[in-house]
Amino acid sequence: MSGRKEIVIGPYHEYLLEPERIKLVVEDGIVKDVDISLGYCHRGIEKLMTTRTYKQAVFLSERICGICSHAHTTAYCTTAEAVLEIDTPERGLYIRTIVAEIERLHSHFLWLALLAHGVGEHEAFAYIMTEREKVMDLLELISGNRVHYAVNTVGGVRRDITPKIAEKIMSTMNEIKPLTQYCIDMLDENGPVGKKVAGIGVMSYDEAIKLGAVGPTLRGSGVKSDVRADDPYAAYGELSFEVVVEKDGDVRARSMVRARENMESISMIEQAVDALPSGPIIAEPGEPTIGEYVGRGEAPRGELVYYIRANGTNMPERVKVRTPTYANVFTYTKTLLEARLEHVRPILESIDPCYACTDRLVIIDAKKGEKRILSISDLPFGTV
Amino acid sequence: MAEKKLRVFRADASSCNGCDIEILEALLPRFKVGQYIELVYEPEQAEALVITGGANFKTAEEVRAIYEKLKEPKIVICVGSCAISKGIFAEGYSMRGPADKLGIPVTVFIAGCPPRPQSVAQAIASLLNVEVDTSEDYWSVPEGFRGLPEFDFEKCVACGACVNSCPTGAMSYEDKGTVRTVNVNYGLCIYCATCEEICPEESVKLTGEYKAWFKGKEEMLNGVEVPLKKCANCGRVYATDKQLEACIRRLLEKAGKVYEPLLEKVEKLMSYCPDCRHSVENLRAGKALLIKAAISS
Repeated sequence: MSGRKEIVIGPYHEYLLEPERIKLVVEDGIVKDVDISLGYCHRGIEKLMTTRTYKQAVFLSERICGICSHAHTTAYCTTAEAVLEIDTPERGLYIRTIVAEIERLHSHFLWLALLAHGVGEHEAFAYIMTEREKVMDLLELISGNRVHYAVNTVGGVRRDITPKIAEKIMSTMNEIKPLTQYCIDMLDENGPVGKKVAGIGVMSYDEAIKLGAVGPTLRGSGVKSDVRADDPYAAYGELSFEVVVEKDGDVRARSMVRARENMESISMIEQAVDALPSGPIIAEPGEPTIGEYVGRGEAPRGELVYYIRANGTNMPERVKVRTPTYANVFTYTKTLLEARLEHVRPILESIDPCYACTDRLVIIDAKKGEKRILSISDLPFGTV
Repeated sequence: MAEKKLRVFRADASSCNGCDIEILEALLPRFKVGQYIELVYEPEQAEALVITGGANFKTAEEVRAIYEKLKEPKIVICVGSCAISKGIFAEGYSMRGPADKLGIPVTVFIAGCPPRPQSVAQAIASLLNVEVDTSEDYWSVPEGFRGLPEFDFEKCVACGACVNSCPTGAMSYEDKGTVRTVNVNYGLCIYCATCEEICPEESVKLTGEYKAWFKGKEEMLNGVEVPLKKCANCGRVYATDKQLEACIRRLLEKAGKVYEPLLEKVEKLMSYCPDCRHSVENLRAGKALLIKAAISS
């Protein structure tokens, strides 16, 4: 076949923050087939978790991902608290929720900055990243570290929010409102980034459900699904917020969901800080029970599921994690097909892939193409 | 100011992504590292290699191949606990690293989980022999900062609570002769502050320092030596002097009224190792002591 060639991106490539190998079969500049090979971040976490006590395993679950670490510990602790029959104090749940939403802010801002970078809007990238530092400083103030907050523990949280910190949270929220509006404007149909990514990588309502997408990837196709609203955990049941949905199903819609979610997060944080109940932040664990438990939560990238099989000892017998990127990575089989080569980067980025999360098994998903590996410099796509 | 920017290739060897994003942030105008280094995406163009993560079965070979392709002088910077010692994943079945085990000589280790952009800036500056401007507000450490853990030599009783609670094994103790050494390994530590939380003597504290880079692995060990006590009966070492003192102190604090008159007997029993304490006559004496204590309370 004329003009048919195979392009391999990765494992180390300018487009990829994390190592993975993506193979594209391309005909005359149109993608015909995709093959994704993961496993470059596989660390055997699920096995390691069974060799740690419930409290020590929190730190392992935190280190599954360096961006949504708090979402992981929240889902893990919610599940482990069921195993150990702990009634988590209200104040602990509120602090957990506040940190989770601040984390969502920093995760979404990072991703929006990377999208802007990917389409050649370097000024927007620098602006968002610089302003985002305010959120990072806030997290450092609350938790003592910029990443891996170690705030959650089985039974509650380890760090309290003092009135001084609460004040700082409120003032930072006011400071980043203009940034959130900037992101929404940037993604407008006529905005600098929005017009470049509109109409590409389209996935319809039915396809999104069929491919099992979760989180902003799913909501970008018009499906109203959010664990925070559908099955409230932590303190989400007591906060009012809107589940952000966009209808178009393209890269712009998926980005817009994230940008608008930031507005919702800011409002949620303000509500939670205002309504912060008094009382203890952590409860003592009870006796470990025997049984199977499932807990879930909404990570910045979508639904996160934890499964724990407990055998009555102080260590879990089996832990299984289903991360959002693992569910979303299959949507590539739809969104990348028939895409133009120069659109590959924004489409790859549009699910906000987190391979550190995903790499607990390897998937290979496509027919075999012709074997011809090109070097990175042969790639014809620079900017969109 | 460096004349030419150091060209760096970033290799993510199965990290959790945290270090990678902190490196990206260190390159922002805010932290001023960007004026000394630039990221390149072809190993052949780079003089320096930044490794994050502990290298699993897939990335180990890739990282080695990248190192071979580097231009001289082949500077290697290990960022984060995983890159230094595999960190919390040390026992993972898929892990093949860390870098020095793969035969990659390392120039600088930056400890942290993940290291802060400030630490990265300091380490890079030290490599290039330039001064870092630490006048900006982000160089002041916030309250509750989780930096390198340090022991208070006076307070530590070497009870081992931190060793048992540490999720990575960064805390360890070793008994040699009549001395117990408690060590913290900054290359393995994930800065979770569990040790600070659990320490009954408030001896371990996480410091508020940004400097967290080391030139060699042995520099990353920090320890405290505490003398051990010999059993008054069999002569075997079984605990540290300070630990027994702390036990008695706490006993008197909690139930001083009951135990003060019996203190001599308590101390005598405590001077035996657990095995000797369970010998027939000592067990009897212990039971009599407890009955006395129960009556007087």
